[in-house]
Amino acid sequence: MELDAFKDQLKLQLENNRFYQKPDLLQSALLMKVNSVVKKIKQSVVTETALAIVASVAFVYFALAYPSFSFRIYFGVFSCVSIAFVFALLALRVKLHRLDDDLSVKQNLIDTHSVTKAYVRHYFRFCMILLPVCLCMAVFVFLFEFISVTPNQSIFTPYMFSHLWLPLIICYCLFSLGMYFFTKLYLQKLYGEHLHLLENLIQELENE
Amino acid sequence: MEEKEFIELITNHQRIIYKVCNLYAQSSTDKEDLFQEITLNAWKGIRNFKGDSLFTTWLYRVALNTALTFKRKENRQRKVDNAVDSLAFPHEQQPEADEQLAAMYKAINELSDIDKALITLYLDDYNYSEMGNVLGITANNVAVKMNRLKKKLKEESEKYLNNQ
Repeated sequence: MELDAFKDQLKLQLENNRFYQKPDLLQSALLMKVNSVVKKIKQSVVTETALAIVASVAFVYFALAYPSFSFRIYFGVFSCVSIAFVFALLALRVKLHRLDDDLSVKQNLIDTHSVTKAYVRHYFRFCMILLPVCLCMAVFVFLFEFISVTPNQSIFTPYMFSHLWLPLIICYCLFSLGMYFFTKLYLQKLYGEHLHLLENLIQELENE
Repeated sequence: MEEKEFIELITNHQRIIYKVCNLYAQSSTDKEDLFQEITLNAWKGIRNFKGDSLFTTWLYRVALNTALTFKRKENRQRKVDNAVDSLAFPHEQQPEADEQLAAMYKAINELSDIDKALITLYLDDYNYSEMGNVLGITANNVAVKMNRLKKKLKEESEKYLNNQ
């Protein structure tokens, strides 16, 4: 059967058919939750921004008010990280709000792909950046608060190397490796397939 | 635009949304979700509709954009056996009328998402330039794709008919 013959037959069928959704069902559709990846990312970004602002305020407060100097440094570093995170999230929000369903299909796919990819990249980078920051801060607090190293005391002696730095470096490497693969796998599971699908659709539209 | 006005407008054009839902979602849950999502996106985007294009063209754009980026709950594997049931307006189809139509439905259901978008617009009498405008590609590109698609659909529907 030719497509044009199919089209004519379909038209005949459609003229005899009436199935309409009742207006009250349409109205209830306007109140429901949505399921698209972009909408979910939008919701996640709003939640993460709110949490990052609360964390920033708390960290700044503790950085200024905590009695112990090393903990003040610790909270100060984390307040810088969380404030930077707030700005990164706000930039992503601006990008997300520029997405418009009124665009052509191709442009919409390109924009959705670029925003989803940006979100995944930002999430991955943030996780990876936090690893050395957390480790350095943990060591810093441990040395100055719990084993009371004085500023004049060397922390790079052979004894410290074998009893502190070496086990610490090994633990850090193992933990970082685990986190690296876990984060990759987690993001791949959540967004990998969808990103791949979008890439294929864009590619297919571009091909002649 | 008031909610009441919008619902009236969508009620008059909901066949477009149905077509897209039936073509892009397989399970009834996904169809409902997609219908809801397209309606909601149209409601959110209606403020941006300036009337530069026809309302139907605008609604197609919103519906296709939503359908193509819609994350299905079901496995994405298409089930050929259910193809007739899942395509546009299956319940009104007269069984005696059409093995040929059914074969064509099956062939359309097996197409890629982009090809389905092209077919949906083509079956609704859009010309190549309008189709290109909705999809964001040139009319030439649409023409090339449509020629290939017509050939493919003819071959595939004949194959289904011969296998019956």
